[in-house]
Amino acid sequence: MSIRKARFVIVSARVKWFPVFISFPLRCLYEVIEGAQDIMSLFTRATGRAWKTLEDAEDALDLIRGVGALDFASIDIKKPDARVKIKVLLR
Amino acid sequence: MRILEMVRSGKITPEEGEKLLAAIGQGEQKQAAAKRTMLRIRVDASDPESDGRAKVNVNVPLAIAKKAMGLLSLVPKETRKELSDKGIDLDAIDLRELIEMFESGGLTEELVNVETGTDEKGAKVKIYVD
Repeated sequence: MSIRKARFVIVSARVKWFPVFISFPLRCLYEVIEGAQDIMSLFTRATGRAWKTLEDAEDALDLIRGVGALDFASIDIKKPDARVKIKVLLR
Repeated sequence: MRILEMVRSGKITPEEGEKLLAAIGQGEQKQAAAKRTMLRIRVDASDPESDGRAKVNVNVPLAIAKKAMGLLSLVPKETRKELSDKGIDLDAIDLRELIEMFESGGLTEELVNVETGTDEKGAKVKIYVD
């Protein structure tokens, strides 16, 4: 049985009483990385470390996609004067 | 069962049978370790001075966890301080080493399991692989 690759990142948050919901395709992150690589290629002095970071980010994205559906993070911080709830899901 | 039959029929000695059983057990343990691919971080902390409470659940694929070693920075400052007061330094924990130990079969239990304080006012940090 093959695992269906994750395609979307879904971020839902609640800061005090304001709900926030963001959903975007994982492909967007690839585009961001590719864009950053394109910009960096314009600069001859771009450090190897920066390239390595971008390559690592791309590898990490591949791995994340391969995992399939994943409840990546759930953060719930409650204080008397504030409440923050964040959920990051991959679907 | 087959090993027991082999010992009974005299094909192998009891000592050899014991070695075979141990080898099979190790193999199963390694297989189980290979199947577990998710690093799970659970933090449940409450601030003793206020009524604040923080719950953090993070699930990270092992392959990514090895690359992103800054995961322990997700532990809230208050919890970090509380643990440090109890003599537990989270910064000193080398997750990469622990994961590698787990993958090699040298470690089969939780990577980190720390509890301080009481249930109401305390912190629980649990990092495990499953």
